[in-house]
Amino acid sequence: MTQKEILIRTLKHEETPKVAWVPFAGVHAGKLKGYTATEVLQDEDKLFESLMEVNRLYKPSGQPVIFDLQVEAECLGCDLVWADDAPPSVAKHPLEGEDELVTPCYCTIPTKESGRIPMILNVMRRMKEAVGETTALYGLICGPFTLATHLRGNDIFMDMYDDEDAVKEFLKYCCAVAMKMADYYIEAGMDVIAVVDPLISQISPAHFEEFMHEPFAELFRHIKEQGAYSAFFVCGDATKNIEVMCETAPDSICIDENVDLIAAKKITDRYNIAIGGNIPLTTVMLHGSQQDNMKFVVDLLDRLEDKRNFILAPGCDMPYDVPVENTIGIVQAVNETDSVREILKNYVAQDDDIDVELPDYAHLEKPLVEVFTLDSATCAACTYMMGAANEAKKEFGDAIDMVEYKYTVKENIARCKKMGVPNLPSIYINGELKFRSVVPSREELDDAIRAVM
Amino acid sequence: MNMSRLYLVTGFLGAGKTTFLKGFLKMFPGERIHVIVNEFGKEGVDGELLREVGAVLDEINNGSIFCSCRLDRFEEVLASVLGTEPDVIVVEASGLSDPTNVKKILGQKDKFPGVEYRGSICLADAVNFRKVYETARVVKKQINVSDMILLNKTDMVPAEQAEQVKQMIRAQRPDLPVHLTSYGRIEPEWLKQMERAQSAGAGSTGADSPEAIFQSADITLRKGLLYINRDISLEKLQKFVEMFIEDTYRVKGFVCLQGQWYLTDCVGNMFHAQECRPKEQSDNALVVLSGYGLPVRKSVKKAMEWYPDVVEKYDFH
Repeated sequence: MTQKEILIRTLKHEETPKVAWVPFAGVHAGKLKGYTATEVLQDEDKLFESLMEVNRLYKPSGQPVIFDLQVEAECLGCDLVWADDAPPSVAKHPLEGEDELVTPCYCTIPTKESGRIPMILNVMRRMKEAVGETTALYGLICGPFTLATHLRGNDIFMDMYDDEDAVKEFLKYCCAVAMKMADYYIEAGMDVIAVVDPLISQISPAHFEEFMHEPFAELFRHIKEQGAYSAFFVCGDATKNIEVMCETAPDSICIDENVDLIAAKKITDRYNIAIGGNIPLTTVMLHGSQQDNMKFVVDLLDRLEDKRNFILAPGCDMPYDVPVENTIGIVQAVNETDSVREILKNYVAQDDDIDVELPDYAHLEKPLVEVFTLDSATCAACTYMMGAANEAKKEFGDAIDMVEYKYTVKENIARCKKMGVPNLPSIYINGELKFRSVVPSREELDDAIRAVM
Repeated sequence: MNMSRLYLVTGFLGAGKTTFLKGFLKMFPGERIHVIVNEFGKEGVDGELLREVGAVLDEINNGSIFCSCRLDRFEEVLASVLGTEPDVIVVEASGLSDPTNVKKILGQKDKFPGVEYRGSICLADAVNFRKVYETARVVKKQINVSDMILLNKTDMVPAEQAEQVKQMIRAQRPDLPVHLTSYGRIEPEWLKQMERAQSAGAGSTGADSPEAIFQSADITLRKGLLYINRDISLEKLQKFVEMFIEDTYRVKGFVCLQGQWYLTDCVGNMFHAQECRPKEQSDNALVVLSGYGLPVRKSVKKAMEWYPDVVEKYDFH
């Protein structure tokens, strides 16, 4: 069964042999290829190249093509401030400050030619062609309420009190924008349309029911009619709104670390809606170690009584600087949960009884290439790292020694500890860390070996 | 180490924070001031003012204004500002960002030992407060973390309206000083009063006793008892309480969870529990105090649906 099928079955609420995994690598995709957030969100080739790297390293069941909630707002006249390591921010809201909230003419709804949409559609088509068979592709659109806030600014909260009808009319327009965006993205091959509306956590369930139920229910109905699956992304503490969100009938809901996933899943299960989340972005993904990331995933999976209707995902758009090895650890934990559980147990257990003898690196007869992997048979990134080492071995033959240490073997964990290997996969040459997480090109590895010959 | 006095300033857009800052920053003549702002927008701090008082502006690029998970960005800016050892730091948590998280970070004394937290000032706009209080959850959170409310623009509304707004705020935070003002003016005495309370450890989590809060008989006052299952974790109790805490004045009690005793005392809608010595005679119950306009029964019921194993029995009257 392909990763894509796992996700689609999950969205159909069926049993799956493994848990679906969707890394929300938006700006972080750029980091993998050395591009800034601005580059990757504006340049078709750089975005495509980065997404392909995400696909190669993180082996996703599904992946978003672009994670930028400002695309629609930009088309509608919002000024954006760009950053190197984050999505842009809206700096000016065109409808802010006007006494009356007037809904714009529907003729202003973005077309396939507006703003960055042509670039995005091209990347979607190219991704569909390249990986569409094995990976479900997510088209992310800005949710109606967040779009309303982008356009109207915080005045929208006063409007909700002063002029309910004007807000409803305005949200209808924002919903029409969202439906058009969904149409464009579905036509370009997207399997899942994710309606991303972080501002939903800013209002009460009563206000959700009054203002949001209708546009969101209509939007999810529309997506279904077009033959795609839907997701409702929210962030922040949306605990109280989970149930009213379910009432709008999306195929799935995605939450961040502010919501207790185990408790929330009991609610979503009642509605037979899949739930995705909620690896903490900062404490675990950005600042945690590889082990922390593996542990979080294994613990979460172990705590889920029923894994049906569950999608493993980060809480939201991954921070730009998430260390690659942390995500690699997550991939391994979701695909090889049992062996990772064992690894973690062995890592925590005192391994003083295992005496590992390190080579005498100062007096080696020939260069020694040591590859430390989670397991090159199951971890994609490790496979590539090992592949690079195997190529080098082929080229240098008997002139070098090469060995793989898999983390699944207890003795190797002790070796990693003794060597101080920071994360996996890594390549050491003559006892020195040369390549960490990022797979070297053939030239880079050859040069590094020649340097010690 | 030169300690930096830190003030947190919150308030919904349009509450008059810029005008307030103009006066506020001038209260520290000759001192080195840093202003940290977390949102782009028209109501930013203007450059002229900063030059006038010699303050430095540090902007946080949140990527998106509403992101509540990226606190690392605030931590980074704060750490770099502290590196320059300024005398005064003013953090403006505006817009829709959740000030609760900012306050939690500032509470990590070991992480930012150079910070001397002086309190949180919330600007509320007498003209529009009722509206945004109803619609934007962040307004309640801003009041939660506050040590003082400046009810601004009172010259633009009838006295009764200002009084109504004051009552709304007091319904949420009976312990909080609410000062009526215009043009964002703050009296030095108000600031001193807040700082005295802060240094006495009577910040927003250490408010007066319930008796002091409820000086007069209030027939709308509601009290409930929740008997807590001893097998649950503290984390779960927190998640549970946070589902209805906004509809309470106070939640208090000694509870034993998984063998450890805690004194739970939540005022100002912030969950707070600290380890304590075992209590011989305790029925492992939390007292929930609530009142007029706060649908606490409904929200407790909802919380019990989410966390069916937390409460063994309950009693509301």
